[in-house]
Amino acid sequence: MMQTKVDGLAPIEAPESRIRPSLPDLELPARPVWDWAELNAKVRPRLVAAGVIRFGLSEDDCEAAAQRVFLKALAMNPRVRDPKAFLRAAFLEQCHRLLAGRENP
Amino acid sequence: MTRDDAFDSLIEAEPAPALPRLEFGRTLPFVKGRVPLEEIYRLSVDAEKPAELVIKAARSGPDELAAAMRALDGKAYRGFALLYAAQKASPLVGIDPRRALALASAIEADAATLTDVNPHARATTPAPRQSVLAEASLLRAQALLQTGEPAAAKVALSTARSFFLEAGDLGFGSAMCDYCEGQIEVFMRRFDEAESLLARASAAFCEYGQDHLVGRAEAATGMLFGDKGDYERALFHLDRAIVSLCGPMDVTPLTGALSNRGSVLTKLGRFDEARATYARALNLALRHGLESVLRFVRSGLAELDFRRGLFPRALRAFREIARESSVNGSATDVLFARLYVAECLGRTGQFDAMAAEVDSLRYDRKQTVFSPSPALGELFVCLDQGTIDADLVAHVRTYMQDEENGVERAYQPLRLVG
Repeated sequence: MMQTKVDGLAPIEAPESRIRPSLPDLELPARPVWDWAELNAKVRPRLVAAGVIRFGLSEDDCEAAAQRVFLKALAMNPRVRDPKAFLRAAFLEQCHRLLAGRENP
Repeated sequence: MTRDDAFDSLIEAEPAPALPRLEFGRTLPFVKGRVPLEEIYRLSVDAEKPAELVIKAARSGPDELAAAMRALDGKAYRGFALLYAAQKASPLVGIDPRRALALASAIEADAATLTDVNPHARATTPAPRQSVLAEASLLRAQALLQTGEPAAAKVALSTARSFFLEAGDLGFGSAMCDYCEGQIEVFMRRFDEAESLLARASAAFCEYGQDHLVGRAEAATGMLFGDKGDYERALFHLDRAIVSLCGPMDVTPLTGALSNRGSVLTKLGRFDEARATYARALNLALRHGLESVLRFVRSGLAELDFRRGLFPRALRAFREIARESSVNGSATDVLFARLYVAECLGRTGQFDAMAAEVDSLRYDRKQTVFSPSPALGELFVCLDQGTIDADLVAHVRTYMQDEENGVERAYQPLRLVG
């Protein structure tokens, strides 16, 4: 019989089976430690530059997209352990959406 | 989404790439109405403690929860606090899913006054109503699955998907929904759908660089194949899960994945590897006080001895497990441990003791909540007829374990199947 259990988590730790073990206590995950200064000062301008140079998007659009993905990362804070990787993927997705919107206005 | 090496090289470039100069100059960047990120970050930090207080209040009761929600009124960080409370309430789902449902309802009600997302505005709303409602619905789906209501959980999940879509989150939020829905499908034994959803979730988590979530999706996929009886593929995914679950916050899912790996290796007959894997799981479970996993590991080690034919040792272990489970475990745990005890007694030639164990099981069955079972029925009839043996006990146990794992099949009495 495979174990079926709910494991605790900040990230979604939903039931993985039918057996419901009792958890000893309500252990809330600590807030992941982010180097906010580095993210804001180093990663953000690079995202904007990459959006402009790689995809030919306007700086304004890229600034707005960067703002959106930073807010998304903050909104998902308890689940995000590697914020830089998250920002990269979310920003890339935003760029693709902007490009798709340009092709199909 | 695919790899984009050119994009990645720009992100990693030192120094930061300069923006191209525009031939005709450029307009000033749009900044009006854009709240500085530092300010939003501070709000998110301020929301942490209140979110935790909301969850603790939810665990205490409805009055405490209502008071904790009222304490958020007028606070600038209220949206983030609601968002984080929904996301961080997953442990509450395991402890008390009804209270988790009440928390989801309270968050949904309180979110009504939050600002809506405006997908066309450049000034994005922090923690908008739709994002909070999406997380509350996700929490509701988890809690409903935990209470054994997968159909209702799917409805809640569909709501979560709609809100994530409205909030403009087509990537990570969607992957969270895939992960949750994959678990619902596993529960409903719709393995093909579950496999597809979990694979999609795992790929998205990988894209977003969140290894701890990749590990959880892979562990769930491993369980899926284990339930299907495809142990080689179960092992492949559990191994991937174990590699990905390496942080201090991953101890519980890692220990679960290890114990499942031990179970799979046992079924594959790779007993030495199984013992080594169980030893690692046991070590973690003891060190971190993971009682529920500890019980599972002990059962796995006992079953390992049993499958190796070490019946006297397995007998001692299962007796101990039956005793402990009668105090701390479920009626099902007790039943299986005692069936193993009876079988071990039969395999070691202690037929009178085996009959006494089964007779005692019949007596206890009247006292507890065991549902009527044709398998147990045959066992007790054979006990009265004096034709009970270890093979019959094994036949009954196998059927009941399948039944517990959700395999639907009619019971065939042993005398009919040989």
